[in-house]
Amino acid sequence: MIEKNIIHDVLIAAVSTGGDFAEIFVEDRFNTAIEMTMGKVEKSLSGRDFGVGIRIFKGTNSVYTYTSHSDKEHLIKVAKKAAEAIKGMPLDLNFDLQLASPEIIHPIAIRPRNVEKSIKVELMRRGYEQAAKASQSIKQVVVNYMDYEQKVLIANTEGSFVKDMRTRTRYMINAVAENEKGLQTGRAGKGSGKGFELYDQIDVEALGREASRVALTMMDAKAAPSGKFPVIIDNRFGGVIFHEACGHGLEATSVAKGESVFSDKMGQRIASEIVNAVDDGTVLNEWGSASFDDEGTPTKRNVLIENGVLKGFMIDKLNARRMNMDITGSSRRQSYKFAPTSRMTNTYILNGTHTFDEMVTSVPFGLYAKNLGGGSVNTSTGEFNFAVQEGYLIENGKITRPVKGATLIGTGLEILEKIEMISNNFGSDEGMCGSVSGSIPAGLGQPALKVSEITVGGREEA
Amino acid sequence: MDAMIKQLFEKGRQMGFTAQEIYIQDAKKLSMSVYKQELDKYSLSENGGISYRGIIEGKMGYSYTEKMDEQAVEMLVNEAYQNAKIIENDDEVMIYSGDQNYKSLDLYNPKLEQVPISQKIDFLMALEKEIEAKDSRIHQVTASAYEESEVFVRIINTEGLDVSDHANYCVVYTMISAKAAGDTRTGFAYQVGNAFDKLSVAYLAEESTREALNLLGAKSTKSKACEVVFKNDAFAQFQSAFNGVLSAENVQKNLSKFKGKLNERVAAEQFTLIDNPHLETGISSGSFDAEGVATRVNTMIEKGVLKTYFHNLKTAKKEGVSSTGNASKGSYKGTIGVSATNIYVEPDKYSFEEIIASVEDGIYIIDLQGLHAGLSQVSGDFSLQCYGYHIKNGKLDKPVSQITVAGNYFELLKDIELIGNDLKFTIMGDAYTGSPTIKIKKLSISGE
Repeated sequence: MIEKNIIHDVLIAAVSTGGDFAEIFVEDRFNTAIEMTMGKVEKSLSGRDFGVGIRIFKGTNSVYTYTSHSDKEHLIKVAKKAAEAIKGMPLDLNFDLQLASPEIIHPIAIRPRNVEKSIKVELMRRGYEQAAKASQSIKQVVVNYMDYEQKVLIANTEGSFVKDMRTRTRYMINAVAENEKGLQTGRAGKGSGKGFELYDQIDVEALGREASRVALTMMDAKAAPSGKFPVIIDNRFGGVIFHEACGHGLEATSVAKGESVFSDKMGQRIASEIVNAVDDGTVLNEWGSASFDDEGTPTKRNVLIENGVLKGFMIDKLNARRMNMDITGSSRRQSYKFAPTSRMTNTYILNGTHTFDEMVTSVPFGLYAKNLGGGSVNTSTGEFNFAVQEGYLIENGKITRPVKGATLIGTGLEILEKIEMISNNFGSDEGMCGSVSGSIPAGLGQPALKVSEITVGGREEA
Repeated sequence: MDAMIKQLFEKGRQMGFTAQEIYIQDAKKLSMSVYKQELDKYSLSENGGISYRGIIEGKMGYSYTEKMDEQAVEMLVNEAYQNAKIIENDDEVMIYSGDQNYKSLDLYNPKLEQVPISQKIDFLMALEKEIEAKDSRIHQVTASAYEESEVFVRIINTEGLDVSDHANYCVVYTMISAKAAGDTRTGFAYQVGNAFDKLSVAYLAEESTREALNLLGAKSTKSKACEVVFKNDAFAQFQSAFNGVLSAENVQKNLSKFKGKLNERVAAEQFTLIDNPHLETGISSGSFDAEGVATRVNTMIEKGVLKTYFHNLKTAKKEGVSSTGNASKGSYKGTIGVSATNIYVEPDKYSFEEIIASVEDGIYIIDLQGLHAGLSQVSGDFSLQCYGYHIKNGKLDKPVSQITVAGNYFELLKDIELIGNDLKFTIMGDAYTGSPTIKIKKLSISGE
């Protein structure tokens, strides 16, 4: 992408004013996105992102600059311009760039970029047809397909020099059902760090049926009750609760400045003792995995919570300086346009010992949140919210009828403490996570779990 | 650049494209933040990209690149060709030859960039200091940040169009946290514009700390249905999440409840919603849209009556109307869509105090969370985490948090009772959206 000797000279230019660390991130990425509405391809876009990001540290101060031009003179000029923001005597850093080989390789059998667009369209059509024929009430079906190949080169003045290629592909289907009561949407999809071989392993027709099933179920749902009661959050995308309510608060971005509710809780019990959680960027071909993070550090499996006790944060190089702790190989960024920072990779709550049925039976009145929408969190206060996309009432230990429009709110600490039962049906899912360093693919997952009470915002009183 | 454009159009013509266009965007960005009286982050960038599109056999193909090397021309044309080949939508596509007149807008202030960087840093330092000195319960200024952007956009096509816009603006914002008796609250304030001397440390310090301090000790409340007053920028944020229901694209795809409602009453009579791309203080202003159509001021909802949808050339053609000049493109990476520019609820005559005084027992909402998740633009249903104050006998009372407000956007529009005179725009959300304080007759509040 860019020759090693040029990289070296750019890094030297970056520390010419007293910086004690410099890093270069070169990105060359090819994107494909196709959208099909009611069985017809309406949009198809492809293109190339290319740019270089240069970061300089002096102590805990940082400077970042980026550009799309990659000739040597321009890069050195840009690096020097950025370095002007740092005032000091050059430290005469000596380093030798040796390309490191990855310990973990995420193998790609079929590069999506090499697959004809018409094959991708056929795949989309199969999902569409199943969704559309589910019912007369299905009025709209949109299928989105995307893939990308992101080649990166990362080097720094510590001598680290790595190359990585991240392949992603995702298939998403949205169905809208309509009757006299109104419109309801249902979603299903699958994203992965595999190549196009993913589509030999998953059933896109089942995804189509699933999207319509959710929309049709919710179409007949009554408004959710509001109040405080037990909630069973199902596996897979249910993991978004941990991602939002806790994961963000464990990122050094909010911990380092003492802002997170978890900042001063290392080694303390922060969750019910049946809770075990990890952030693992090494899971083979997962949505949030890579061989190296965006600072060039090999990814790791980091234990966050063990038997309810806080064991680890997610820490990037800059915040490691502030916190005087080790980096965790989970510094990430959307693109060269963003300075990297600590982010989640694949964040999981691990299996417990109960069965799903035992949990349901234990609830006299509550909510079963089968499918969650997105949510957000204020990491300073720990307050979170997320939408229940597909929910059901639990009455006398049985799942009874669907309810719509529920939002779960609470604080991370409160909910972690109130996790009363964890089942043994772990499942993972995929999302896009937006934060300071942009929007990145983040894996999430959990087994179904029962929280003794959560405030549910609905439209009817319980 | 012009030589490359010529080469690109020539290559496209050889491939069989009958009309072609490129959209060039160049951006310069400066951003910095101060933390504990030190320059914590500093970032400088110059970046751009080119979007190409062309018509072949009645279909539009798109592609883009950020790297202008020897292979770029070949790649752009080939990718656009392949993308056009799989399009199945039969809607007529077009590349626009241009309008007679484009509004002349002064969106670039050269003085902004000339303000020395040191002065901008000093502003942030002063802001941090002023906030910290305000109250002993201020825990920390988590962000005191400044961003400056300069954007240049040009559209050139084979049909004779060649238009460009040049704009700059800056945003300064601060986030703070306050702590007392084990409770933490956060505050946020911002200013937007392209005149540095209009930014105010005093305003930002007051705005960011007031709510955080007043909210300390906020508690949840019993669920109830009651009158609800939205703070101006909170309603603006809420409205921005529903701007899409006005998009003709959504209407035509059967994804908007405004379908078939033109010239019908859809909101309370006091409610007028305007989209103004010529607002000189608006960050979404421009003289032409993403298809090169001259922009214009559109009244979307007038005294409660739906007057028009947002159109681009394609959606307009389908309905036999003319484009409203709202074709959009997220950036050079996007395909053409439809969106609002600077959209706002027209202010009425009531002061904030008068509106609060009219409420006997209700909730004043100052911030909403999870707007990307807790609502459905399609059905209009929403259930959103929020916080603010109780209103008792016409006065603001104790702070309240850990509640949700739920309802339906389309019903809410009809339940608007009072509109304030205090228009404010939000920087959150897709378009630049503004609103005054708004009072709603009844909404569900869920708490304990």
